[in-house]
Amino acid sequence: MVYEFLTLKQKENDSLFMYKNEKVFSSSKKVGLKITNINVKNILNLRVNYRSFSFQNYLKKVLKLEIPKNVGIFKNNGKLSLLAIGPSELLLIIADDKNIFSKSNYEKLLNNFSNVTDVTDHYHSLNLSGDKLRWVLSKGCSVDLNKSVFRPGSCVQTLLGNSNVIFTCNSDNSITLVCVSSYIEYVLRWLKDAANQEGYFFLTN
Amino acid sequence: MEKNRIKNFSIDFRKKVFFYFDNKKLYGFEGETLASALIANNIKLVGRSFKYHRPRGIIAIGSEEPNALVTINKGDKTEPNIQATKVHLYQGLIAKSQNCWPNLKYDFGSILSFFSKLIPAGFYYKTFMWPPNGWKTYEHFIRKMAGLGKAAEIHKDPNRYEHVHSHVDVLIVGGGISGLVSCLTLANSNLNIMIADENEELGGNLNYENDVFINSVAAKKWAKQTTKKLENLENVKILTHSNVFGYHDHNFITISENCEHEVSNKITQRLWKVRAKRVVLAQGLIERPIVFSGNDLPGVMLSSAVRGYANKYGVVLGKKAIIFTNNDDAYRTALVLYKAGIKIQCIVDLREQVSSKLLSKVQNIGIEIFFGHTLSKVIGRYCVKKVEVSKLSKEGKINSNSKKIINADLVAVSGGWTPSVNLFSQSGGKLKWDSQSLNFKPSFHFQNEVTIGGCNGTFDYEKTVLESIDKTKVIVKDLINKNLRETNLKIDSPKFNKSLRSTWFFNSSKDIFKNDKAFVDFQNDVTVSDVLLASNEGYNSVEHLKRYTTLGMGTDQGKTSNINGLEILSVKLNKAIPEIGTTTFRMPYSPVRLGLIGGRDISDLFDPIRLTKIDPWHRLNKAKYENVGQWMRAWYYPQDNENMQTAVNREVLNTRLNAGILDASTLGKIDIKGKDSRKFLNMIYTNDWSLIKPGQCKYGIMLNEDGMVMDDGVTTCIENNHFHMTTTTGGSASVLSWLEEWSQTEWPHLDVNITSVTENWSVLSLSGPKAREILSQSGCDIDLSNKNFPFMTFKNGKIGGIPVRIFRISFTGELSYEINTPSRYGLYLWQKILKSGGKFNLMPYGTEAMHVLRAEKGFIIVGQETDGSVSPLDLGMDWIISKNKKDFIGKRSLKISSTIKNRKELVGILTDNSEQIIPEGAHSIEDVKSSPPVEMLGHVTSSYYSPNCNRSIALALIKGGRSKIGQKVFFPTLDGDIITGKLVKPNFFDPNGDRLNGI
Amino acid sequence: MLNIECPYCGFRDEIEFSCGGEAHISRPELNDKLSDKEWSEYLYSSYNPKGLFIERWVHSAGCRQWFNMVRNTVTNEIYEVYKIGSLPKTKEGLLAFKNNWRRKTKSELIDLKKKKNNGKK
Repeated sequence: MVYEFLTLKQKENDSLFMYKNEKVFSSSKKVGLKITNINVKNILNLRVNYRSFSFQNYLKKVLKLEIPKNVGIFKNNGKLSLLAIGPSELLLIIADDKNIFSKSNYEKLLNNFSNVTDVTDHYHSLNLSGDKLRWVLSKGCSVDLNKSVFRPGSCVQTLLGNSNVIFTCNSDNSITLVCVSSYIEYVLRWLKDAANQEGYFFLTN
Repeated sequence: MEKNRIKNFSIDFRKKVFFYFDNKKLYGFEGETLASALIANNIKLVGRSFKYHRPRGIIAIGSEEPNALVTINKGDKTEPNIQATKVHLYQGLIAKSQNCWPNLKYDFGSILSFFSKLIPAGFYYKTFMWPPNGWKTYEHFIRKMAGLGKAAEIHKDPNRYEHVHSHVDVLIVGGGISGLVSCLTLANSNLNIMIADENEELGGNLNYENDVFINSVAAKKWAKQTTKKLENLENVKILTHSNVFGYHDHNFITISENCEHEVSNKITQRLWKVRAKRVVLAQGLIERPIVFSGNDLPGVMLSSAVRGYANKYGVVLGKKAIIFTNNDDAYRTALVLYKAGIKIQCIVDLREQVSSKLLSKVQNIGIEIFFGHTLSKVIGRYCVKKVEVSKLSKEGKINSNSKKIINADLVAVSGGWTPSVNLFSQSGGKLKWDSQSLNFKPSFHFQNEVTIGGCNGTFDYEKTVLESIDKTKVIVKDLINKNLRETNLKIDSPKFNKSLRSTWFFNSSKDIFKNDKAFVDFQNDVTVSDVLLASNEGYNSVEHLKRYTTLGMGTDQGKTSNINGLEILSVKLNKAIPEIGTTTFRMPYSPVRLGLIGGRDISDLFDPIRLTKIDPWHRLNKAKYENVGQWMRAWYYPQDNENMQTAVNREVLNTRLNAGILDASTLGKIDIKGKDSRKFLNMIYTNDWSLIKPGQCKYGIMLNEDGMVMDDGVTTCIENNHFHMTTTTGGSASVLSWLEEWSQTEWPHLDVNITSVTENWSVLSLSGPKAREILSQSGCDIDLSNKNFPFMTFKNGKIGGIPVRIFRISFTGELSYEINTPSRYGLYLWQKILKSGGKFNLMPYGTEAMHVLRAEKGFIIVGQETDGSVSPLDLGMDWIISKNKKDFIGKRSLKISSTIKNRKELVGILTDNSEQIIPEGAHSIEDVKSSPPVEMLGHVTSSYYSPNCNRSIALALIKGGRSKIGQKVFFPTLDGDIITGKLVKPNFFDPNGDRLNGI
Repeated sequence: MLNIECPYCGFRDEIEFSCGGEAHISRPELNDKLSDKEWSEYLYSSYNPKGLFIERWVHSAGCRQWFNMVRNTVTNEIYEVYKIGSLPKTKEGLLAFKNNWRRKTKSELIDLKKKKNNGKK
């Protein structure tokens, strides 16, 4: 049997590797939403009562990062992000930076206090920005994402259209969207349709 | 200039446009409503009524219009049942009347008017019953005669809709005087405000009046100035063209915004889902007509509408007007018509002599007023030509000697004003009857809302303004504890007498209803005699009245008819209205398109389509797909000219001869960690997990608490307190939820953590006698010998540097390796293995081949062999139920179901004709009889052609099947044939499993 | 569209949640004394009141935690939301709990016992 094969530039491929950059203007020649594909080095799911004093201290020392004290808060030190998405569930997102520990180091450190599960490829991330960002998201998300309510340092786990997503508000007021890998195609299609009138720019990176 | 346009009326409209009504080209102004343009062109006949096909015209100016329903546009944009009062004119608009044939003037259906005595309210409950088969014929004709407009022939709505979520501090419903004042008051508070109105501009009734001045500015102008002020504020969102149609739980309001007026907008309508901390209802009042004989003739209109058309659009539907009223408000209409140069023949006032400043003004002009008189009849065929005015005695009897006939072509009627309490009632609020103003007013508030102005029963302009300001200040104090500065508004409005006379005191007079064409509900053709008939037949509650007569059930929801109907019933029953009550108001306030409810979730955005990371290869190699839940999985890979059967046969044969590879990435994978993982698994699964060691795999079945099979899968012990559970593709979400539910609600003391990792791993299932060699050739660094890597174990390793977890488990019955790799490497690994396997004739196989391969071995698929009513014992799997465990989910129920005799059991079927494939779902019967009843024994759950067995095979659930092995069975097909076969053990290939344990 | 306060995430729209039916249903202990009738009651019978009702909900599109809710089935007023394993505190919640014809769950019995014991001390 003769089969066709794709020429892959690398062994690791994310769900959007076949996608191209795309730009659509609004009727007034503006771009209201910018979507950037993000590569993340690792995502670890930690199960622990993170409000305990000892864990907070330990983690602060090890990660050099403040630990969230409640659900809906996320802490970021540029390389690591810690999202509190449940009363005893944290997501540690390790940015794609050569200068950080490999995940196995983190796993060893964290295993003392918590149950760690690698969910790196389970999720896909996008960065969203633009002055029509919150307007577009309000078309499919019932959580109040206004700048006065959803402030930098907030994270929320909710629905966007028919897909489960996690939103975090970054310090520059852009929003990072994290969704389960196989839903990324739907989420992108939804965002493009919702931003059709406001204009959008999709960067595959 | 159109015939009915008032001379010297200054119109600040845009340009002149043409439009079509019933194929006739007419002219009007851009932006005015279709209704006002029709009035301008003296079009009195606009439609035919629902049941009697009576000629009907425009009676109102807003969304309370019951008669003037038209169909606009054509092709796939056709929209039926639109009120002409809500259509805005644009160049080339096409509008058609409805419910008439062959045309509006000479409508065949008007014959029904002659049979009106035979078709009163509820006639269909007593007719069309004989002969019994006759209904099929009757229904065909009734369907043709029923209904109003016709939907578009092309069934796809070309419009796009979207939803928007909004969170506001205060939502103001209604942009009339009370809404605007409230909004002005709030504007300085920095609260997040939204104000919504169904018209194209804010101002409400202020746009229809010319005798109200606010701060010495004409009310219309003041409304425009205020709107401009509000538009410039960042914290205020103005929604015009917006129908606030539903008040739901916890201050959740749905608003339908019509966006067609927005330039370059691809969205036709937008559904706003608003959650407001406080709601201010300012919907105003709706005028109600008076019920009298012939009150539905074109030319009879609501007095405030007559006034509004004159003031806003400069049109009047006649030259000789009569005003019929029971209150002072209609006198304002008299003044407006007089100024417009219309001859007012007289004013007929139901009340005995009354006086007020307003009345004096009218009397000073010299208009004749008949106090204590009524309009006993309206004369005309297609429109009003004459009216009959009669004197009433104090008790309400008509004095037949006093009848006067007066020429008239326009009758302006005012029966009082009804507060619009629809949304208030939807919110759960309770109403109270006010006998002074003859109205229901809000009394008990259930949600966080306030009512102000007309819809709160406040009729006075000054009082309305004060009430709006006061109640709004309370809201602000409540929300942000701030005191607002004073808003100064000076109102100058006509002073009039509040008295009203109930219009139903004279129902005892029989000769008013000689022709009994006194209409209560115009849209559904409900007359006074219908209401009385309902009561005579025993339908004495207001809910029964509504349903029996259909009063208030039209698209206008009885906006102009509910109170009148109640009044009639109350006099008939001799009970006060509060005792009779009112019906429940439900959403929508005005009709809403279904497409709007669908919003963005249509066609390819209806449901997410999920694809695995290996999908680009399947697509490139032209695989055919199958939907499994939200996933699209490769079904089979046809080569050259293969059809499905030949492709699947090839894939199945090749997997047992050489090797096959399947993309099984969609399978659910759940990571379970924690000290009490084993205890937890022991409760979830039926078998014993206490002894399994790291590196070992075990097949488990999980039951519902009622003892029926829910899901199955292989779970592996990765490390002592770490397990990797797999589930079926369709069950991955439900099993995860199941585990979380039990662990959180029943056994929270168990230390166990459950995380979904379904998408984290790509799964490549490599099966077949050559699987070992292919895996080794691909660069796998694990010792794959049977001794080192036995069946039902797992190993960590690398393939060409890529990290993998390999499980030696099999769903095909062949030597199998399920290779898990982080899904980023999935596609690369798939291609690598395929390339290495080329010389061994490795071929990919899809889900159909997978189904055949496992069926040849008698392996069940949950959801195919099980349907929630099948226990493990039925499947012949008593070996999987632990005898030692004290408890597990479903154990207690099994105790009961295991004692039931003659349950359906899993067996195999071999058809007598080996080429015949029994359709899945076919029922088996014991004896072939010529007529029913025939006892059914069970059904076929899976059925395929097996190329490895060279014949068809099937699995079925048959009553007492295991004890009937060897017996004959019959399967009737839908075509009337009978397929014959015999019952066998459910395993058709390699029953001893030698190939599985493969050396 | 109810506005439900998840004890962990705050107020969210009803669409993010799934309803889990009647709350405080205890799973009977499996022993010889457990009759078929009791078991069938546990499995299939459910309280269906007009008015105050305690039910379980799960925040399926959010933190995925289960919690209890005291709701009026006629007016949809939500009086209280409280964590699994604890007991209601509001007037309506206590009234609904008292009217509950079921036994309490094992963990709540432990909780109740603890409360009683603490009280004794």
